[in-house]
Amino acid sequence: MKAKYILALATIWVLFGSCTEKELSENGQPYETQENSENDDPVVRGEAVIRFTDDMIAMIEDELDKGSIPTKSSELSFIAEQMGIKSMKRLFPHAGKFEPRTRVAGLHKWYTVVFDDSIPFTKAEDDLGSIPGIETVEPVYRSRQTTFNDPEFKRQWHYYNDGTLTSSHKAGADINVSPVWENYTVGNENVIVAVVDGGIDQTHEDLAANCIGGINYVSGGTTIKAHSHGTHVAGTVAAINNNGKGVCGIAGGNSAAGINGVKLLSLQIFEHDPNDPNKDIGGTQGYTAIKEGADKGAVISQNSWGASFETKEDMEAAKKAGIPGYVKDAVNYFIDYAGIDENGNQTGPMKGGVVIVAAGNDGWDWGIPGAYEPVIAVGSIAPDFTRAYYSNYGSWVDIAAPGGSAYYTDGQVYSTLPGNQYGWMQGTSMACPHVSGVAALIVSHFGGPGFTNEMLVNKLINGTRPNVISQSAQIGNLLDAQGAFAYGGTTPPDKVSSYTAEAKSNSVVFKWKVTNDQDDRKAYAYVLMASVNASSLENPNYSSLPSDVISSIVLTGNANVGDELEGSIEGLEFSTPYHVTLAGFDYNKNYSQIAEIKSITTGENHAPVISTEYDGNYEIRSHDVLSVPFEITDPDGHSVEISLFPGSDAVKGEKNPVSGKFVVTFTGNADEPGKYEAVITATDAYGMSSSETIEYEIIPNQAPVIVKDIEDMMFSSIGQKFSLDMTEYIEDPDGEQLKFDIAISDRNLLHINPSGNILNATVLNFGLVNVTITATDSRNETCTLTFQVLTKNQDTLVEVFPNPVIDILTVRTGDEAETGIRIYSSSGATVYNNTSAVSAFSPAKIDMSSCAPGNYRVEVTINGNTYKKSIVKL
Amino acid sequence: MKKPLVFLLLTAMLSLLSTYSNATGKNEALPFVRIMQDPVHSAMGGAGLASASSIAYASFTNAANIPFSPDSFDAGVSWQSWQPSSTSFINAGGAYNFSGKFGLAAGFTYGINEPYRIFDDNGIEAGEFSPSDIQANIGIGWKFVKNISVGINVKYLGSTLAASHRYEAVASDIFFRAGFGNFSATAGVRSLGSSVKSSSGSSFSLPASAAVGLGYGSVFSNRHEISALLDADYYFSGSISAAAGLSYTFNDLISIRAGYRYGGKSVLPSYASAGVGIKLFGIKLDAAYLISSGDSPVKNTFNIGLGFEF
Repeated sequence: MKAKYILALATIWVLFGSCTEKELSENGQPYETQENSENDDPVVRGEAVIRFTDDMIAMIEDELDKGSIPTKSSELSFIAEQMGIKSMKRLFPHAGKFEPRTRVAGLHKWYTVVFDDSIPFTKAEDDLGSIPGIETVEPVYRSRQTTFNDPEFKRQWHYYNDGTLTSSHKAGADINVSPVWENYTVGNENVIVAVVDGGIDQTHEDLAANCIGGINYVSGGTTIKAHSHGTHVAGTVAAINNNGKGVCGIAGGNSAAGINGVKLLSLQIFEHDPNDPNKDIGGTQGYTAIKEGADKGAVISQNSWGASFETKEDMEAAKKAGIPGYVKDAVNYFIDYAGIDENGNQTGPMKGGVVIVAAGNDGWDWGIPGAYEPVIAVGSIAPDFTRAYYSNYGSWVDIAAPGGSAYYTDGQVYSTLPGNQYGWMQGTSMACPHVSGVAALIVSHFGGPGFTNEMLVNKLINGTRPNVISQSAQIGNLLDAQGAFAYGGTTPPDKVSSYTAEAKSNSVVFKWKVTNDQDDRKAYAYVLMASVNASSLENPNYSSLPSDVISSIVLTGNANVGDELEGSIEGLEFSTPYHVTLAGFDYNKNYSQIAEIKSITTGENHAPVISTEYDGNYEIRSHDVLSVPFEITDPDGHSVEISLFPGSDAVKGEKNPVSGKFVVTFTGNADEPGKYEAVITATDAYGMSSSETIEYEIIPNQAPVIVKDIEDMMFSSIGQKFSLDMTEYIEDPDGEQLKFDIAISDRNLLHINPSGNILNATVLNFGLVNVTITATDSRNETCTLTFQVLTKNQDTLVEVFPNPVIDILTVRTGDEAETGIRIYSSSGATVYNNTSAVSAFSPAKIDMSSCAPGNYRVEVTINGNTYKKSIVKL
Repeated sequence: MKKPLVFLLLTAMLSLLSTYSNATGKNEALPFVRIMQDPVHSAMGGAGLASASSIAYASFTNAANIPFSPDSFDAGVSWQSWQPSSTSFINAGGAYNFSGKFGLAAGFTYGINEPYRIFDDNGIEAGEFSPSDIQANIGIGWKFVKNISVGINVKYLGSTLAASHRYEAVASDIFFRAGFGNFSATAGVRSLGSSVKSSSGSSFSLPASAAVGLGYGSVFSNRHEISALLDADYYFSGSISAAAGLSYTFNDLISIRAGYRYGGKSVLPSYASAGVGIKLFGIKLDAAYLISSGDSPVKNTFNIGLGFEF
């Protein structure tokens, strides 16, 4: 039985990645993105993000979908021309089967507007914000992506996750590598990472420069055959950075700066099965490849593969049997001899190697080779710090890294795929190269004579972020690139030599310059402190500051040594003398000496100030919607709560998230006419308040009135058009825009399209229609106009219809005239004879229901002229 | 001979009953049955109920005249432009007199009406249609005593007014006739028959009437023949009409005719008429022209016919 297991263990190896190529190719197309500008302005010029109201989006969405600038909204069309708007695209694209819930979430109303970049955002904000159908205008901030221009970096939440990719992504669930790129290294070409996996695509646009070939253990020789899994893993370790293409790799160098990344040695132990691309062949010589990686100069062995057990019972049996000896020997060989020549001399950047392996994807508590203690076993997290559903776990798992999860939208790891493609994959296979990449960065920066694999492991493991992953997950702490680099440093940043401190009410504002850190380049952050007792500040215990010390932390961020920083301490007592100082510290919590202690007295508290630039009246007509922005500021910079007593249902108030102003909106038809009072009250965080009373009146509504009747109209051909300006016929004493509803007795004969006050009509067919136009004001008071439209063929002065007739025969003429009408039977007997006034709009109606079925002749005499028609009665 | 006569008599009686039951006072259906198609009697105001001098169209008027005819056979065709530009009738008729005892007659009319343009309720034109009328008659006369005969006509009437709208009826005439020397008299009913129903469901009767006719004919100096006719109708719808006509024939060769019809409120209007005829070797050519007041629809109606008798 044991022999059988060992045979199986030796012959069956599978990848820990679980995505299929098919899935990847669908997502692997490169996106077009805007490259980051060198400009330091955090806001992208010429762009804004807006959100439309429901009514507006319903009106213009069809035009937006076509990619055109909407014309259905006259206000938007006008502003678009003024601003030189070039495009309006959905911020959240159509989501296929998820479009319904996208719309429920309201995401379809967000659009990115591109306009003339000579227009500052504040101007664009005012212009776009003035359009009633736009409820929000927001700036487009540059992505915090260091200086790399790789367009797909925005998808690589596993490197930098600010929580914005989707709502499921949690800020900080990443490997915090950006500070390392900025302050330490982007990789060094003297570091070789042996990627024991499927073959790396040696010609991939985003990998080729960092590839140094390898060995094919499946087919033999040195020809590497591109494999999706191996190529994806390699991209995470060292895809080329800052080349304007594809993705970033952790230790991929900086192409634009001419810095090469670490080298990728492809030790191919899998190939795609030529008979079934979804299956692999090979997988039997993984440990041979580990061993030979050391002989080929690699100091880091990257292994996203492991033993495959058909059942958990098989795994338990293997666990009981223990780690096979050849596994141990191969791993030990690499750890002992990597970076060392045959004489025991260090030749590589690190003396000794590290074997980094994926923990496995079975959700079990054991795996090979991860459970072998000397390796670094890597577990996997999803984008929200939780253990990925598939990740193996246990005390033997040394470190966690992002391996992603397909259960989250855009929640997998994004990297390279063969054929210059890119795509998503998940698994501990994807977590593992994150650790290998950071290890390669550490060796790149710290490597050299005397640097050992133990130093590397020490930084890698002890520099992790504790407490962000639940201990119950049993996948170790989260990999932290910056933490690894800072770990072990004992040199604090330089002391802040000068600063200013200014009291502002009960706050103290500090200004100082970023200080140098000998081993970490610059201070990681600063602690600002204030106390009424100067002695409490002199030798502070930063892990437990005295209770009378009030402090705040300011991160250095992207600022460089010598750049000015500003921060403040808030919540101090009013009108009280304080002593203040500050100190810098590095990521490893080494604190500088405190700066000079200064004395300062805080100020008084002041009530918030309510003001408005609006100087018009507050007489609101029923159709009026008056929005008045109030600027509410606190002279002391305190937070302010605003409340509104509306006085009636006609008043609402809310803070505009863009302008920050409190906008009070008066809606005339939302309550009954009358005089009311609204009161705005602003209260600061310390209870001091001020109020503004607004007296307003809702003016009584007046119904629309008819000032002129619309005369009946006659047309002579189909397709004729006419327009009516309704302001000539109906007026609203309140001057409001009326809504016109049109009823047409037969819509097959006439079409009317209302556009504001203009009714555009088109004759569709011959005949007479009654048109009723109802004008409605904002309080649903109405007036109604009716008229007739007759379209008759002018070739026929006299029309007799219907023919055949069953009961009522209509005889229609032109202008009104005394008209004699006689009807004869086929034998010549007179069955009808009458003279009366007949016209186009007052035709004669003759009841022929008492006439027998037969042929009849109708003689119509007008002004001495006689017109004869043959008709049939049925 | 008695069996067909009994059959026609029964048919005529049923038609009479039907007429009475359907008389409603509305105007009457298929009125073309009352238009005189014989060019000889058209010229005499349409009078001819008691005339035995021209029996080709007896199936249209009175089959009781046939046994009193001096001829054994009379047949003819005619074309009548009725209400010119409105309707053209093409007619044919013939009768045979069996030894002054029995007579048989048949006739046919096809009326071509002016096409009309179809319009819907909104006055929108939707095409054109040509309506038509058709009439086919058979008649029989029997002189059952020396000076008295009876005659019966049965007529099929059809009128196609629109696509899928064809109206049909059967009409009958029954007359008794007496002849004494130069005088003759006849009385009976005509155009008795079934009703037609309109699209709205109303029934309309045929223009049935009770009718009498008087005739006088005499030959002077073997060359000059004069005849006078008088008809009168009382329509069951309540109207009356009468017609009178005179005819002079020289040497059995050339005839001139004139007459007048008083139409009242009947299905035929009033008019005056005139006509001529010429006969040679039994072949006859006759023409009639209707003279009416300026606004009469039958003004300028013209009828011309070709016949043969022996």
